[in-house]
Amino acid sequence: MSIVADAIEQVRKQTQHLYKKIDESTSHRNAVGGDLKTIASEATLLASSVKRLAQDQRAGAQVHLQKAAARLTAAGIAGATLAETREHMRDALQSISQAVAEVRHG
Amino acid sequence: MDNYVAIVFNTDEQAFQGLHALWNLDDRGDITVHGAAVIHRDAYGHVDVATKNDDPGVRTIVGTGIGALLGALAGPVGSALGIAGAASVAAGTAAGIGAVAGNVMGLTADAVKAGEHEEAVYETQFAMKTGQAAVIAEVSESSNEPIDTVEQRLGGTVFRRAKGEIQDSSFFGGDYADYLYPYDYDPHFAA
Repeated sequence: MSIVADAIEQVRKQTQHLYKKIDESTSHRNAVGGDLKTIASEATLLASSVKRLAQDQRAGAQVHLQKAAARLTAAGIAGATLAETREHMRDALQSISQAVAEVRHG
Repeated sequence: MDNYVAIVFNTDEQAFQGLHALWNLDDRGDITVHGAAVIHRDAYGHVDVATKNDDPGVRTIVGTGIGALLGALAGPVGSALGIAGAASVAAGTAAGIGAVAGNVMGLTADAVKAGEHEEAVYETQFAMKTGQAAVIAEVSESSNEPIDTVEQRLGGTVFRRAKGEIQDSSFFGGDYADYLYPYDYDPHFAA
């Protein structure tokens, strides 16, 4: 696997991990301000990684990664509710998954 | 190719193994799973979605979108019923929604049994009998082989429809994605 392909796989795993964390907060209804802040800052970091990755991709994967970066950026905006953050993260993950599929199955 | 797959098993346990096997294929890069869940048809024909152990009952209610997805997987007859079902359950209760999803598959199976439309035998293959469980998933795959080989070894029967074909010909609500977990999980049916 190339370094770039490996980087997309990594970013997908990180996004899945963060989404799982949001799911757990949602199901336990115990998300507090601190959790949301952490999730938002992790989403912002992921958005930067995805933006950088998008630059090195072929058109198909690039479009998906650009969409994902936009959604991750939205998830990182302060003041978003848990439900809004979850929706942005879910969309971001879908787009990253599509980018991974593009790279794997072309 | 982007596909929706339904892999039907005789027991919940087999379906749980089938779900993990699907994600293992993803880990190896053989396929890409965009979302997957385990569903179960109980003795009354109601369909439930298995949630995570620490997610009690949150997503067991089968909503309109997943009802349409199940109908679409069942073919044109199922699609039509899925659309009708979606409209009728918009404000339904959990039991009502489950019943509609169950009816989608029940009626589809009946249509095949009745032999009213020869094509239906081919088009409406996906049906779950009471007591059976299935893994449903949205996947990208270069070939059918990895999923077919691994899931058949576990006792599953694989049904597949192209995503483009379904989206062109049927109605989906926006909520079906909420029921397909975008990561591997330990499925659990609420008692």
